[in-house]
Amino acid sequence: MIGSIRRWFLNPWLQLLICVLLGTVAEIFFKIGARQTANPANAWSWTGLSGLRSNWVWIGVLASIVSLFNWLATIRRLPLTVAFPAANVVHILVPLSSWIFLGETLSSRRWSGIALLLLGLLIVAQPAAKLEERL
Amino acid sequence: MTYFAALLILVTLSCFVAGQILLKHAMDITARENYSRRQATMVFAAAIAAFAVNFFLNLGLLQRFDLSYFFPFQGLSVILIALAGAFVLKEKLTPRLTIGSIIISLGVILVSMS
Repeated sequence: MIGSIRRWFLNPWLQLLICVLLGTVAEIFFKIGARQTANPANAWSWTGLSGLRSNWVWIGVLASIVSLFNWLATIRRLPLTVAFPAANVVHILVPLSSWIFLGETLSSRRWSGIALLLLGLLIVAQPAAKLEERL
Repeated sequence: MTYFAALLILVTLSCFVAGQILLKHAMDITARENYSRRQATMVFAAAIAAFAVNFFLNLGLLQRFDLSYFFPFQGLSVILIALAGAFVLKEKLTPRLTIGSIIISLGVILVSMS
């Protein structure tokens, strides 16, 4: 019983899903933190170190660390040539989240980029589904 | 966008690609029988170091630009990582995966041009 739950949880595709969701949460939190601490006039601001003063950044760090373990569980079972293109679903999730949660605007060109990404992901998903059958 | 910002984005991207390849290499080492724990740890540490540099440069970029504007530049890493996976890690890169990766990269470029 526990063994089958464990195997279900360690499925590389489930791990990849958790990984991309946490990665999106982390980026949104980093942006909120960076927005609070931004001071472009400071010569050292490009290092990003002042961002560490924000708790949002630290929660983002925590989400990133957890998502790294999910990513390790993913690439343990999947080749990088499949897992990495599939992980690029974050390039849909992050602009959508920036639009919904941060109030950033998405141009029509950006929307068509998102549509193209969807197409590419579908093309990559098919050999990936075959790969799963072999697992 | 200044040349300095473009250079920062390029360095950030390179650290990211190197980190991913090293991470996968470390996981491949642990999958071997009788692997050297020390070797796996070293490769893993090198991957984390590359990601750490990527993280701080990323935060610095975030302080200057909208997230939805510059984040997509990282998507160029799709092509780079697919190629590095095939040539460095000797993974199989099918024509379908190649076309899918190129379309994903194009999608990312389109998003980043906005």
